[in-house]
Amino acid sequence: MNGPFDFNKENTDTDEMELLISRFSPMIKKKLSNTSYQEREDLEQELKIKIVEKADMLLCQEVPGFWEFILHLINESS
Amino acid sequence: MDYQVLLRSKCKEIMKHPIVKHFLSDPKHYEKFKNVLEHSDEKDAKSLDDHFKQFYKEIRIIKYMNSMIRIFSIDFDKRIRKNQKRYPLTVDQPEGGEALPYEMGKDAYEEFLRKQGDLSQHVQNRDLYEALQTLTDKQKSVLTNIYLHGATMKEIAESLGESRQNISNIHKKGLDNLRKQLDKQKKGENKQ
Repeated sequence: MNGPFDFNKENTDTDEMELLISRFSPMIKKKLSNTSYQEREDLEQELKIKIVEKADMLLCQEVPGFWEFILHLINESS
Repeated sequence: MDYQVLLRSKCKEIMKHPIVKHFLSDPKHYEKFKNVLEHSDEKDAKSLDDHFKQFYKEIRIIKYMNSMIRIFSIDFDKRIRKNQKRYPLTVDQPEGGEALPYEMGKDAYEEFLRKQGDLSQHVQNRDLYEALQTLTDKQKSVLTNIYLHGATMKEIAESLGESRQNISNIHKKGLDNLRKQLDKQKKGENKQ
């Protein structure tokens, strides 16, 4: 169980955030072309701030297990 | 296990679901999945459950981030553009509207006074101001022309259509009047 988002409990929150940011920075870099050249650094920073803001919510969210998910699928289709 | 019965009956349908399909495309996961189906291996079922949680969470995070980054970058650009439109930066041409006095190297107060034609508006001493109010219109205008505009007797005489001596007299009388008024005010103050 060593997925990219499987953070050790020993890690501090900042480590998690940094990992999250570094993981998504290519995605950010790609989207920087949405704005003019002068604003790119600002946008990059704002996006990173946004990620930090949302990190707790994303990392601590409850997700269904495999069987739960499949049961849900079955219920939905029937 | 009831879900296994269900699972077998709906297996094909479930396998078509993109997330499940993707999850089982990992051979390790698929093997465990097969084990569970064939031998109902409790340990593998548990492990599969945990793996899926991890996998699903990851997908959710990526999906969220993807749309967040895309939408936010577009919004950000819109916001910047709006701001630039509202407050354009122009450094290569003078600003619209009248230039401020300090920009022209003038004192705003001096500029204001210059526009005041009345001599009494330039006086800061209250006694002198009151004394000025007692003068006749002619005396006032002569004093204003001399002390405010720096005109000579001759120029004033020509503009008013009178003789130079007459203007000189008016000037002298005006000053005398002022002196008398000021003396009177001083005496009044001393008495009090």
